[in-house]
Amino acid sequence: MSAEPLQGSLPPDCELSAGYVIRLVALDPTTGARISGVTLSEVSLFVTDLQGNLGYLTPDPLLVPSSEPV
Amino acid sequence: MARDEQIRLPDGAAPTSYEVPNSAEIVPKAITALFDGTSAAATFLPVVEIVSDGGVVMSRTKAESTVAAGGSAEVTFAPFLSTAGASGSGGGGPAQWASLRVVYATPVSVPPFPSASYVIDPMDYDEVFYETSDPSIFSLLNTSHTTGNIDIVLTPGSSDFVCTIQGGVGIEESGGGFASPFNPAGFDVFVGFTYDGLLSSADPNSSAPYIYNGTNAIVTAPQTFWTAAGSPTSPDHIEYVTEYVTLTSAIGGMQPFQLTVANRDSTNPTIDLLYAWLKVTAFPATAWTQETIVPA
Repeated sequence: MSAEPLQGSLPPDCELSAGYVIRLVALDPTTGARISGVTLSEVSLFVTDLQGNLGYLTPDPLLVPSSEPV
Repeated sequence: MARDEQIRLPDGAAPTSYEVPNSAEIVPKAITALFDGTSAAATFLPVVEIVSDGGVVMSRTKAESTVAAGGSAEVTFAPFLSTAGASGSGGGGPAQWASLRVVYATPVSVPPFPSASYVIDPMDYDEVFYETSDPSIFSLLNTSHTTGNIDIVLTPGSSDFVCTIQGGVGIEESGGGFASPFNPAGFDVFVGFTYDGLLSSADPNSSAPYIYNGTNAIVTAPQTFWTAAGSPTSPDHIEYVTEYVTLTSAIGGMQPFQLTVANRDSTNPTIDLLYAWLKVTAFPATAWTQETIVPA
């Protein structure tokens, strides 16, 4: 089955500082409860990095600090 | 220096999240994801939540429709993307508007004051121009009255809007311009904007028309542009623009905004040209809510 294309509106000009979280969830449309069994893939966040120090962040294990002293 | 970045998150079971790292500050421009509901327990809504550093959900934005259990959806979230705001069902969306311009070019003779207030029948207009950004929200009713009003109507069911109204009137009289002063007893020329009462259960007086003046108060007479007796004074041509009038309550049901014109100038009883315009702008209330969700 092909994926249905959908869209939604984000709050405009929403500046998020350290500690804020962007979370993708699947919710029951009536109760708001989380629905189990939904998987997420191809998740991309396109953001403006206001401080210019974010860089490209990926879940690549290479980003995990080495236990060996450099 | 600010720059645009792309952040990829790992595949896995929902929910998934990204926390803004120390000393960083970002503005989300778009979020895309494939929600695979092949094994979903029930119908679901793809949702993006923004959670504060204190763990409080600051914003919860949903996709425009649900996904059935077993289905999948490729969802894009971005500012102003949703089409749901037009129907007032949530999700924001741009403001919609309707404008009306009515021209009375045929000279009208007005009976001497104080015999009666003389209301120019709006149906006697020579030209009328009506436009709207969304005919599913606004419509023009100008055939249902024998006297009195031209209505811009907010479509029944178009709830969750906050409206502003702006209007103006221009007038020219024969005989060398306006008398000075005008009728000292009250209004000489006025255009009234009438807002026919809220139909929701929250309306404290739903059986009576509501009329809002320039200070957003509810009054019991037609909203008048010229409130001072004897004014304005003797120009040949007058144009007046109202302040914005804001209806601060979300509204539901059929809501006419009525345009009424009148002349009570006994000294110069003939109007050569009169035109009036009215613009109603409806902001989806949900969009306003979202715009307030900006962390300090």
